[in-house]
Amino acid sequence: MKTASLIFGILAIVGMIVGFFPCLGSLNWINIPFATIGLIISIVAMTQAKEGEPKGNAIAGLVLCGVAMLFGLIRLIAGGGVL
Amino acid sequence: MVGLSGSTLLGKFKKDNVNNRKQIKYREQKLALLIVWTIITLIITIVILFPFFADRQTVLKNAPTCISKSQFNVECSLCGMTRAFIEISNGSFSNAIDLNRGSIVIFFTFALNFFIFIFYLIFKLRSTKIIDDT
Repeated sequence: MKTASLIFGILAIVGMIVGFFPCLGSLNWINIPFATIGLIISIVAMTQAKEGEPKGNAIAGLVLCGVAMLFGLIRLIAGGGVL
Repeated sequence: MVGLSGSTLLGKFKKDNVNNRKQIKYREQKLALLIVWTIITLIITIVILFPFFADRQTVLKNAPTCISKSQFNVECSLCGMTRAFIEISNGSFSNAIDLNRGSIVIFFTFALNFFIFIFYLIFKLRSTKIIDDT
């Protein structure tokens, strides 16, 4: 679960970077829901982790998905939801 | 073992121990990166191989139209990339450059990534003895 959240986080960041290219801003319509799924998985992974178990990957996934969502949303608004 | 002093052996043991701990620590991150690389390579491979197997009309019909060109009639930096990839698949590189100057670089970067990935997989499978050397 923790590795899955990290995978979702990295993919969301890659999607966000591609979405920053000119005319590819509409990719964020796919990337933001994807990052939301990653965020949910990260939260579940964090809550499922037992006492003393490392949560580094889940936190990394959470942060990456959050960053991808935030910047994706800004990019989407800046491009008028299309560009 | 013979010829090594106690302090050298202790140093070697400590170094190996630190290396092993590092490998265990970053194993999950490496796995995550490998999975991400695999997914991206699969998508890229489909993108670069699609013009080779589908005819021109099918590719152009399935490719999305650039919003910049359709709405504002201004070509963006990625405009003409699909047509350029079709031209590359037909072997006419000069036409591809005319359509989009960056197409050749992007196409060969994608191709290079694919070959590096394949070589990495072969190397990895050999090192884990899944592929028999005999």
